[in-house]
Amino acid sequence: MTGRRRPDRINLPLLKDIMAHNFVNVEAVLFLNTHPDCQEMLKLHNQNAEKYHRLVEEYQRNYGPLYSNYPDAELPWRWINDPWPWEIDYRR
Amino acid sequence: MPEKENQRIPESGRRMRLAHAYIPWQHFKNSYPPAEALRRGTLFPELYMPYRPGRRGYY
Amino acid sequence: MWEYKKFLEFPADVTRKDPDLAALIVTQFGGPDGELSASLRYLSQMYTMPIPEAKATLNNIGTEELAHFEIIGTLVYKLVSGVPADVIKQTRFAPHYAKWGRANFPEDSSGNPFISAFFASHEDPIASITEDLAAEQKARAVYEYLLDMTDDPAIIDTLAFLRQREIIHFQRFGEILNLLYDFQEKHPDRYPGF
Repeated sequence: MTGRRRPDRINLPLLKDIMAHNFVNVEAVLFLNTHPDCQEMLKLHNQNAEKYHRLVEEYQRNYGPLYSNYPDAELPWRWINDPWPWEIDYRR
Repeated sequence: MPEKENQRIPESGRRMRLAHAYIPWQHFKNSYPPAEALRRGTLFPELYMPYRPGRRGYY
Repeated sequence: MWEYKKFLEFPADVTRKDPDLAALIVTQFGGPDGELSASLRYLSQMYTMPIPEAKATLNNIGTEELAHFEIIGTLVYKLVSGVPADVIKQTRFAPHYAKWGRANFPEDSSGNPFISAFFASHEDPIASITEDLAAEQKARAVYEYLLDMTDDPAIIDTLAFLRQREIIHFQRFGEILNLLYDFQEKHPDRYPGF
């Protein structure tokens, strides 16, 4: 099929929640790289990672892939669907 | 080397030498909740240093 | 290797079209203190670092800078997409349009294309990490110049986020420098790791 596809439905609050937990991971990883023995940060890292993967799983199941490598992909192949991250209006 | 030229960094106890750059060691105390961390650009309250127009270079 | 996540690190947005501002912000896409320069600097330097903390930090910050490259690309794209050519003609974006149309191209705010001569990658780790500290300060300064150039609240939020990241990276590179001194003292024979 080469016709125009309908864009994926997005869930902006869930997507922003995923971005927030992704960001906590960015910060926790940078901190742990120079503080590899910090128990408290390790705990925060693991709790956050658990939540992040749960949210991503929920998003991918209901709205569309955030990773091209994800289980239960179906045809038509949805990875290519709009909107791409730079096309989303985040102000709502 | 006289102690004056051989200061120690507070907290870490590292020996400081002339002609070397050092930064204070960060210790994890507390963190912002995820959405607030993203909005502020950091997880760490002690590192949140926003730009105030007219105060360029101060952070 | 790298894997793309189909979301931005920060929800970058603009309140209105503004090709004049796009012509300035593009300097963080492909200019000397821009995000592409930062990313390639760190991802080039990581290989010969003598301590694992330094390899990991350069890898992770280099990766994050690529996400910032995407955020700046998003701002420039949103500022000019759909703006008619006869409007662009009246703006500072016109020289870019004459060369590239509305496509993103890594260049500075004067139209000079991206070059790797913007950065260094030294085997001496103290030299490289000290360069990285300077790079974070220069990028912070550029974000402050850009913040002085706009009153768009959505763009201000995005630029303030990116500026704050420079401060965090400065702290982490400073900690790496401390760890490199420790390594030098403990292993004068193995320093700088060749």
